[in-house]
Amino acid sequence: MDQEQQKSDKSGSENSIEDFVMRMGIICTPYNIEDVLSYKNELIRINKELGDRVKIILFGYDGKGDEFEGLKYEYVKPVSIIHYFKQLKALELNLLFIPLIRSVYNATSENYNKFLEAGLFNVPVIALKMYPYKQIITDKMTGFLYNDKSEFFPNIEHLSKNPQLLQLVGENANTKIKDGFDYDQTNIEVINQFFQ
Amino acid sequence: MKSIIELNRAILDDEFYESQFEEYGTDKNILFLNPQLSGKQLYKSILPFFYLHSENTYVAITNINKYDPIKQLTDIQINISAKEIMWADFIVIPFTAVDLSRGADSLYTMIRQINSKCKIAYCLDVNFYELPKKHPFASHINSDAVANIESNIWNADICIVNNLAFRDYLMQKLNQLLETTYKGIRTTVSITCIPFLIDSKIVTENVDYDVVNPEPVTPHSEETKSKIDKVSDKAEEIKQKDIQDKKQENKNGSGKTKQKTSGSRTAKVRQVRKRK
Repeated sequence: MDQEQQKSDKSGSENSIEDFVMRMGIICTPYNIEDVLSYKNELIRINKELGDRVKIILFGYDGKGDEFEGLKYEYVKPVSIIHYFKQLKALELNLLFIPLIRSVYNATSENYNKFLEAGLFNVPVIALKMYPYKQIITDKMTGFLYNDKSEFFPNIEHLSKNPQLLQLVGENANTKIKDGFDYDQTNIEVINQFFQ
Repeated sequence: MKSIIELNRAILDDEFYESQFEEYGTDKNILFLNPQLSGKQLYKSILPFFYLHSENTYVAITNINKYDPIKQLTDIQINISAKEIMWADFIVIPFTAVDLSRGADSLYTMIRQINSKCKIAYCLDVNFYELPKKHPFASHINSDAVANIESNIWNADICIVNNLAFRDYLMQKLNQLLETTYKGIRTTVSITCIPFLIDSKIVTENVDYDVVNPEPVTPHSEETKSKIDKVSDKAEEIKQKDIQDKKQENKNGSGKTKQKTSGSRTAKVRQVRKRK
């Protein structure tokens, strides 16, 4: 990927809105591929109706298999946790989409680490309004939430025309993470309480 | 993540490894057992290893395994000695479906026999009752595996989850088990939800790595800094030794490329020795 092209894609504030290309990342591993595939039609619609204005990047996908046939996307193979953050930063995302099927499994097993990781690099996330995201994200302040699948595409279309909103919400997410989810003394004491 | 790479290297050195168990916190000692280099273990074991360390709380780690969640689930290899069990007030065990709690030779039994005051903290990563059919774990979580996990929970002191909804779900399940499988069998396990915290300094360390002018990590507390420095110093010592050894080999013209293991400690199964 051309670094200059990436930088041009990323900086919505410097270029006009017409030039803005929203880079939307999706963490896609064997552990959540069913969730990602449940949005395949919506992602194809993004390709068709928003064209090159939105680039879809699957991170953690090995590119084998034909699950995503019909979808135009880029992919980055899985990396170890050691290199994960460096790779995440290098993707220069504007938005991280967290696809989730509304299920008991997801509500009870999903952790909000993607929100933390993306927020470290000022990247906002968009997710279905369900636990845990509905607890930690304030819509349009520290991330984006939608109520059901039918609202997903309109949200993406809107965000693809609003790079400054993406930037602002990403910065808010970063602030929230550093204020509330960092290993400061208060939080260390909280964790220590569990080991009594 | 330089600190974690260095920890991975330092932990293989016998001297460094053993030094973890020669000091004691004024309040408690926590041992993190066999975490993998995975996203989940980053939050559950590796970052806490650096950040919980203080004068009051000493932390140690046994080893950091390569990423292989299926192996951890089905074939976890626990390396622990009596000395380590005696040292620990809390032992944090990663999620596995291997039976750790039943039988005279089980890990839990040995921990209880060697150090009756040590508390066993067993981690759960996913809601294993509700796994989607195509989840990579699904084919491995059969009824026997569920029984093993339930036993690991029932016989632990603390069961750690990271999702409040899962904690509530599990409480209901355990109440059901109290009337069925575990009727009349006492448990003192407490289900605990520990939040995920992240440290921007460690995880983004050297993300913009400048080889010429590397930025030092500046964590919050002196205790964490000393922990990171200790790991870093040992890792650097091992690295320099490896470089010297390689130079010597080349000088001797051995003509062979040997795979060097940093440090003298290799992963081996330690027999848990019962207290005399």
